[in-house]
Amino acid sequence: MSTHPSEDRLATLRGPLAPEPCTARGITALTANPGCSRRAVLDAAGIDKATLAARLGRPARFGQSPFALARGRAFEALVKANGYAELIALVREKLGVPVEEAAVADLNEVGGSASPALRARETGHLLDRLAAGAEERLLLDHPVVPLEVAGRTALLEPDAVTHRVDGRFHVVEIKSFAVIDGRADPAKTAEAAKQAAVYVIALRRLLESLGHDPALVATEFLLVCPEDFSQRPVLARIDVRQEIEAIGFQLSRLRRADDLARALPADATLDLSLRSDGTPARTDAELAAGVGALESHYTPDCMGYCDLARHCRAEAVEQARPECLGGRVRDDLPGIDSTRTALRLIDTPGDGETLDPGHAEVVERLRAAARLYDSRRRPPGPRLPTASSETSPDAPAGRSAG
Amino acid sequence: MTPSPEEQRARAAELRAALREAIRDRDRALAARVRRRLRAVETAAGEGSDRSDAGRRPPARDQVRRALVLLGAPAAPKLLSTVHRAFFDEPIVPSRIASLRRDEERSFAARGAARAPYVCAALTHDRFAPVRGLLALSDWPLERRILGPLGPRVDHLTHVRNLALRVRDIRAAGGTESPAAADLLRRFALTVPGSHRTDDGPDPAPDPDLLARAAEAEARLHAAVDDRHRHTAAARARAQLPLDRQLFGAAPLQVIRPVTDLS
Repeated sequence: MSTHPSEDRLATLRGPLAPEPCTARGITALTANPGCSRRAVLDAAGIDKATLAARLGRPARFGQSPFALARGRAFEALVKANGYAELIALVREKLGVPVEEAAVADLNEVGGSASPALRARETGHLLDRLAAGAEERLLLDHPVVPLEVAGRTALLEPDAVTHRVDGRFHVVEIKSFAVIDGRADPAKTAEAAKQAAVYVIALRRLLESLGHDPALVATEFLLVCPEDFSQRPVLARIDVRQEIEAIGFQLSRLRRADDLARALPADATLDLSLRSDGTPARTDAELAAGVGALESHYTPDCMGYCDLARHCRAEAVEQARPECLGGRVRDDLPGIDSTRTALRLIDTPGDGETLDPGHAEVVERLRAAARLYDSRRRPPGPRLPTASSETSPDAPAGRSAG
Repeated sequence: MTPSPEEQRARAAELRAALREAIRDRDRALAARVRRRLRAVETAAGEGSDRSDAGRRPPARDQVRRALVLLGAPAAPKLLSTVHRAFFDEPIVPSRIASLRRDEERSFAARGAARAPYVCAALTHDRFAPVRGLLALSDWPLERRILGPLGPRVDHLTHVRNLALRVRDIRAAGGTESPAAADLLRRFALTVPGSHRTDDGPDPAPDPDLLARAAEAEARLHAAVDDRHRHTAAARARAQLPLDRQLFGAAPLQVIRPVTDLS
């Protein structure tokens, strides 16, 4: 095996710890904010962001809940128990798969080993034979598919892939959120669709590299969820063409993380390892400097999916960057790079002898907003940038920044 | 005088029914009393046939063997525990099952076939590695313990058929199956095509005879291909592997160096 030569810089940054595996969840987060060099480098280097956030003094308040994880695992085990009985019954009933087809391949282990690289190789061989029509499998359980993300190969693991639906490969995602009266939580479904889109892209690229038609992978995926308040699984076919387009585009835009990392000072480090006596190998200040050298692109949405978001938010607030109040505020303040500037512009009396002519319109809007705000007779708040993550619809953007 | 085996079996069946009733009525004191008596009867019955090392073996071994004999094909610990609870009144403690296969392997290495049948592994058809989480019996032929691509499905159908037939026999003898067994049958009936009499939704009380026939019908569809896989793989395994590896599976593939990147 050889490591990617350009991974060396990232490996140096990471230090002696093993890299965190790259997941589809992480990739969707990355594509949700493609401008964030910080996340790109941290993910590519495989840094444990939760630990890093804790070392920087702002631990993530939540991860994935252990209860949710346990429930997810239990439901998946239930769907796959007894020779995939429930899953096979579902694809037979809903998708008309003939009864003759029941061959499966369990790719959780290869020859008793759970090594992801071995499993990825086995998955590649099997997909090659399936695509060529040399073999038939109704289901592949936990195949491992490689995907190049920001210059690094991530090994992704869909819950299952089925081959025998309309002659195409379909990604199967097993999720434990309930479908109640035929409706599932739209946000969770959208998240699942994004993850499935990442798998579809990875499978298509893999087939292409094996010399097969990438269109053999369907643009729909099969979502398996518990029905109502029971543990009975139901299956839905969901079209992810839009997500595939969007994520494919974002993936192509992601700058190579090692290019980004090369710009770092030579002594920068993100090494979270501990010495043998349990003390950290690097001081928190060194880590903070390393993180600080990476450009972040904070938006309030980051709080929903990034462990480091509280650190980035504090940094954005400290620098009074308008984007810490959300995309709308940033878009309402073109050319103004700080909420402090915005407040000064409101409070500057007279009609702007110091004003940049390009800002005139913005200043006019800011002042109008300030008048509206004052007319609401609220006690005027302190004119400091706050950490409020959203502008309420009735508070004009300009003043709520102050 | 000592009661005949038939009398003992009848007595044990009576006690099991009483135990089920006690559990249903949530009468713990009664359940504990009945369970003690049942155990005494079973031990007495077991002494005649299996005097050799009763009491020395961990009971989990016997429980697992009993459930496997009923199921007739390799099975996962969860299913073994459920089946044991449904048909033999108490679940198997999962932690006991977890260590069982390794203990059996050690015991086989030390004493050879003296304590057969052993609880052993099911094997994958390609590399003969032990199949993740499945247990089997060492007196089953290799063909029955090797799983090809169709293996998981065919084994499930075997389980369904055997459990359905057992329930049919219980009913034929004038008894009723435990609620857990009825529940298991209901769940399994949902996964086998043709196991319901009606088209308008699942049958709340599936007919065990129909279910067994439906499972057999689907198994016949897979039989030709599946048998070929099993026979070729078994022949290869016999040629390549020593006896202990045939029972407990080939050693896992080794990763020489940890791999983080494929390129």
